[in-house]
Amino acid sequence: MIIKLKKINFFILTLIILAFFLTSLVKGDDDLNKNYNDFVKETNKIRNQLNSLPSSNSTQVSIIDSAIKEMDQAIEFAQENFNANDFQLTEKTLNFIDRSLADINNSVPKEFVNDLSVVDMSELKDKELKEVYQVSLEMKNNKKEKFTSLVKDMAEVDKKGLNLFEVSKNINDLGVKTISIQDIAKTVIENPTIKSEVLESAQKGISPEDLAEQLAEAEKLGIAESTEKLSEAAKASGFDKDVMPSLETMRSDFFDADAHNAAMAEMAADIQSGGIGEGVGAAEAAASYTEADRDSQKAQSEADCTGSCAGDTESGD
Amino acid sequence: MLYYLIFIERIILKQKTLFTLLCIFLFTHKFSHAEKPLTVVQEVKQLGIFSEPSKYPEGMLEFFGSACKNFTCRAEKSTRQMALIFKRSKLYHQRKPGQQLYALAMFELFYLNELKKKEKRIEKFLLAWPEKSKYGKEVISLIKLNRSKEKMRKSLGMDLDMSIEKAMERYWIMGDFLQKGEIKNAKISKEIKKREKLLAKYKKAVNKFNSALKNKEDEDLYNKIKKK
Repeated sequence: MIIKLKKINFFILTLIILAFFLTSLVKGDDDLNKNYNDFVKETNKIRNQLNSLPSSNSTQVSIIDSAIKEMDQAIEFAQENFNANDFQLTEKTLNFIDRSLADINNSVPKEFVNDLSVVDMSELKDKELKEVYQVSLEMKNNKKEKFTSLVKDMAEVDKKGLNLFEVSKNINDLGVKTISIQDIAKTVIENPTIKSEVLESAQKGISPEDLAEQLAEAEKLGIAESTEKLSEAAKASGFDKDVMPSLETMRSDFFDADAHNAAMAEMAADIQSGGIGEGVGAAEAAASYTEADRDSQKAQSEADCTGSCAGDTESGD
Repeated sequence: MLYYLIFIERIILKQKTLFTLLCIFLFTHKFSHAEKPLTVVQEVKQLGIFSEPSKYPEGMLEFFGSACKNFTCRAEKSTRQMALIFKRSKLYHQRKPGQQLYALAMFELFYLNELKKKEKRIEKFLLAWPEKSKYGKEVISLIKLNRSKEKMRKSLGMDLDMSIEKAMERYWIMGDFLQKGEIKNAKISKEIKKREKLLAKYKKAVNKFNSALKNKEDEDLYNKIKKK
C-alpha cells in the first residue's frame, strides 16, 4: 500500500514538474505565435485582394501579378516550417521573400522619382563628396554581404525541399529584375567556400548549361583579380576607394561620371525603398513616444520605488 | 509478492531515468536558442555615456535657430520634428527624399537625451544587478532604442563606435544630397497604384514577422531583465 502511494506521489510530482517546464516553454513563444497568426491572417488577406483584382490588358500589370503569385509557394513553405518549429528555415525563406518583393516593387513604375543625374557634383564641397562616396561604397558592401548570405540561405532551403533558385528564375523570366544567374555566378566565384553547395542547389532550379556559361564568364573575368587591379589602377590615378575622387580625377577620363551617377541613383532608390534599415520602423515607434508615455513610465517607476529611491529625480540627479 | 515488488521498483527506476532524460531535454531545448551569449552588463555598457555633442551640422544649427542654444532645447526640438517627419506619408517622403535622413540625425539627439535622463538610473541598475533589476523597464527601453540606432547607422555604413557628431553630419549630408535631385512626376494608372499599395502591405507583413523571428534573442534578454 505504501509503495503504491509512493508511486502515485511520484507520478503527481513528475506531472507537476513537467507542467511547469512546458508552460514556461510555451509562454516564451506566445508572442511569436501571436506574430505568426497576424502574419498568416494579413498575408492571406493580401493574397485574396490581389487575386480578386480585375485582370488587366496591360502587360506590365500582368507581369506584376504573375511575379507576386510566384511568392505563394515560398509563403506556404515558411508557414509549414514555422509550424514544424524550424524557425531558422522560416527566417531564411522570409529573407528571400522580402528580397523578391522588394525587387518586384522596384519594377513597379513610381509616381515620383528622384533624378540625381542632374546634381552637379562639382558644386559639392570636398567633405560632402567624400561622405556621399563613402556611403555609396558602404551600402554597396552591405548589399554584397547580404546577397552572399541570401544565396547561402537559398541553398539551405533547397536541402529542405523548396528550390528558391527556380522561383527566382521564374520571376526573372517574367521580366522582373531579381536574383540572376550572373549574380549567383559572381558570388560563388568570389566566395569559394560556398561554391559547391550553392551550385548543387542552383543547378536544380536553373539550366546547368546557363549556369556553366555564366560561371565560365565570371571566372574568365577573374573578378577578384580584376577588382584588385582596378583598385590599384584607381589608386594610381588618385581615385582611392576609401575617399571620394578629387575634382581633378572626376574631370579626368578615368572617372566614369555616368556610372557614378547611376550608383548614386541606385543608392537613393535603396534609401527611398526603405533600404536604410529595419531600424527606421523602430525609430518611428520611438518617435511616437509621447509625454504621456513618459509620465506613465515615471508614475510606474515611482510606484515601484521603495525607500531607497528617495531623492531620485527624473534625470536621476 | 517479492517478484511484484521488484517489478514495481523496476518501473519506478525506469520512470526516474525517463524523467531525468526528459528534464535534460527540456533544459537543453530551452537554452539552445542562445547562440550568441548576451550578457546584460555588456548590453547596458553598450548604451554609452552621455556627453554633449561638440558640434552640429550647419543645416541642423539653422533648424535650431538662434534662440535654442542649450542641449535640452535642441534635443527636444529635434524630437518633436523627428516625430513629425516619421508620421508623414510615403508620398511626402518621395517628394522630399532628404527629410527622412534629417530625421535620423535628430534621432541621434533624441537617443542622447534619453541617455542623459536615465544615466543615474543606469548606474543604479548596474549596482543592483544581478540581485535586483532596479529600473529594468527604463534599461530595456534604452536597449531597444540603441538597437534601432545601430541598425540605422549600419545601413549607411556606420557603427556604434562612430561619434554622434560624425553620424549626424553623415545623415545631414546625405539628406542634403538627396534633396538636390530633381523630383520627376509620372502618371501612374490606377491598376498599378492598387498593386503598389498591396505590395507595400505584403512587404510590411513579411518584414514584421521576420523581425519578430530575428528579435527572439533580444526578447529573451528583455525577459531576463524583467523577471529579476
